[in-house]
Amino acid sequence: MATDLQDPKFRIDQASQAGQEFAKLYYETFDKRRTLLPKLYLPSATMVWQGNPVSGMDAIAKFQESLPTSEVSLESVDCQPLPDSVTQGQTSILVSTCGAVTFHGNPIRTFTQSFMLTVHKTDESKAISWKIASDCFRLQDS
Amino acid sequence: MSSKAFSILQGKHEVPFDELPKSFVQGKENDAGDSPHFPHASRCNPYGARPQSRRGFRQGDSRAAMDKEGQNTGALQRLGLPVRNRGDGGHQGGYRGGGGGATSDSGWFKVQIPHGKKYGKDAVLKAINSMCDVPFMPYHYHHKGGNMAEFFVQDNKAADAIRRASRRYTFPNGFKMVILVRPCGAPSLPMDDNTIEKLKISMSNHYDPATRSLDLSNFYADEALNKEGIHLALNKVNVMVNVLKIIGENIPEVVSVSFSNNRLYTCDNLVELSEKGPNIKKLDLSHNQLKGEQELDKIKKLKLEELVLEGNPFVMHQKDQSAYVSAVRKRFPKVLKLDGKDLPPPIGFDLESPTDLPTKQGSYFMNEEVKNLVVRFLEQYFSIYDSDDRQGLLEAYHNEATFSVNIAQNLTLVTNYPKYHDYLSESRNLVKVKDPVKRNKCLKQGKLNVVAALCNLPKTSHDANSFVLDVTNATQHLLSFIVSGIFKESDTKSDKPPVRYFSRHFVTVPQGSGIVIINEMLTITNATPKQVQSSFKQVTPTPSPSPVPGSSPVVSSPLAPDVQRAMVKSFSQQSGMNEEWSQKCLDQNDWDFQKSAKVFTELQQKGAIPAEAYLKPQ
Repeated sequence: MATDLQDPKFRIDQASQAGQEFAKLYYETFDKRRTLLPKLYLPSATMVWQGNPVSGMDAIAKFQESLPTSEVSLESVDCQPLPDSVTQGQTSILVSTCGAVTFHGNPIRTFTQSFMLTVHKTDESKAISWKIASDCFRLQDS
Repeated sequence: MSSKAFSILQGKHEVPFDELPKSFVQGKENDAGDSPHFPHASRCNPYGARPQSRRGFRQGDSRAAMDKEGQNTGALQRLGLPVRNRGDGGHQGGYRGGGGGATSDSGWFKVQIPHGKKYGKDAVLKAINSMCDVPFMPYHYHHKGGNMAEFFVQDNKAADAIRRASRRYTFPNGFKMVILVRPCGAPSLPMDDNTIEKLKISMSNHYDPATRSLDLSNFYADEALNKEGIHLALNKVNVMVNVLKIIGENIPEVVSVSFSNNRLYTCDNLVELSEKGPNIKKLDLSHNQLKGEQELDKIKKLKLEELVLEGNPFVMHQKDQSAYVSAVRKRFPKVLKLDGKDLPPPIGFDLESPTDLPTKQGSYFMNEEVKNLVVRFLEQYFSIYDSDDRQGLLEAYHNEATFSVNIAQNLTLVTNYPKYHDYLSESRNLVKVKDPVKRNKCLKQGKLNVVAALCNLPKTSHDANSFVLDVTNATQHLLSFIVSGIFKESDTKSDKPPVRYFSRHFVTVPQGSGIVIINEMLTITNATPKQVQSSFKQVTPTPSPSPVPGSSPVVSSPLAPDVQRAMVKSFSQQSGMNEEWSQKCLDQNDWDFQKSAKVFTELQQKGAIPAEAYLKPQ
């Protein structure tokens, strides 16, 4: 039996798996290969980092480059699919993460981060991949 | 009284520091040594120091002009000149000089009048003035031990003149006024609130907001302060501590600071400067008494681009310019200008990571319209969420809503107490929960399941003052926002209810004339001790008299009829009025539940609500 792509259970599993893989990849890249991180964002992505709005992949890349080196320890990930009705058929998921981060020269802090990911088709190829449409980061007050 | 006479003295303070007569240049022979000294041109000097102007010209450089601008640049060369050598060479320890009276290394004299207290300050000063042919400025007039009146003067001639006045004045009660005059070190003035206030005003006058520069060079000679009899030596710990405090509290944005010409012997008291003025790029410590380059270690946290150190002993003793530059670069790798000269740009390895994080901002709402919508929505959402019955939230969710909660250990805390027992069975933390069955069970779908799950979570009380809101998407199809903050569990019997930190991501869609939640993810971890301490301290705005089960908490009239019906029903239940009167009340208050409730409460208290309003159809 072919997998019913509209089957809610399939969508949930797909989202959970994507969310987990994404979180792992995201923080590894953030810590070790941050210059590659912009590739995970849509060109039109938006980010709110500690209340500072940053708009567009290029600006996000510049912003992230200016951050001190980091060491993230991921503590929790959760993920949900968004209904197609909400996203005009654009398959999208929400990812929430929480963990501890040490930015170089700063004390360890707890962070929470929320992403909306959407499926994006790369030009001229049939490959599709998850891209970050929006990203919101907050540090817990110490 | 003698304000006129005092005014004569004022010009004297303009004498530049480097014009010290020999007697000032001696180091720490007595406690006078650790205070700055600002001599008067007219001071009696055993070696007959010449008037400043003449000496200035004789030395043949342009410093007279530069001094006027307060730059003191030529001092490096000057310091080897005869003026200084004479001071170093001889005449140590001899108070009795050619002028006939005692001299003081510091230029200060202590004047004491036994029994002076009982005559009062005015009478004493008037008496001395009447017997004394040299005008003088009494600093820090006060009483001490018994009836002694004491003050300080900073003028050899005046000191001599005052000494000569001893026993020449007879008070009305027949006693002769005895005056004791002794050379002494610079007086250490107590820093009372008044003095600190004066210091603050003076610093404000020395601060140029346009260039963000604070110029405290030669601060000891600050005219405005001296006029009030206040001498503040920056090399006194209590003075510098207050200076730094004032910087931190009032001008943390300062970029350039000058402590030039203040007889600083050490940078011990400047350690906190980098904290108080994190943006300082330029520091002028020229013409102080810093003896070694290790003094710079104490201030190396400053991210300096420009530094002026000339005129300090350790700089003058540097034989090798390049050693001097590298000693400075070692502490301040980014310095591009040293003693006014450009340095070659530093060549390093560009692997250094920045340490500054972007400044944290408050809530991000995108725009006013979204803000109003989201704030009203959350106000109403949490008023129901924190009530005894979360059933009312049914109306806030879309039929196909999805909800899940996840628990994160707080890795920054030594202990994760209180434990998360009440949540763990529902926690959909994918890092911990691998079982697909549990993962599915913990994802609540459909609004009945969602609200049932919410009802099973511990009762809470949220601290609205702790809330931070970030809006991440606002389109006509969806509104996505994250609220984070503090709540405590309110149904616990413990007198220390668990205090948690949460982050809650809502995705809402328009429905009717309001918005409903389609996706929600709640992350819970423990609050930090500081958050526990500071939460629930501020008085929150009076909560609405009761939760609002209106489906579309965010609405602009007219409301959908079913929403109105729900509101009427709820208002009726809570006010006790019948539905007709409840509707009337809501209608007259633009269907604003809270406003209606407020009006109702007011009218009820006045007894203005007719009995028929409470009559309900049988």
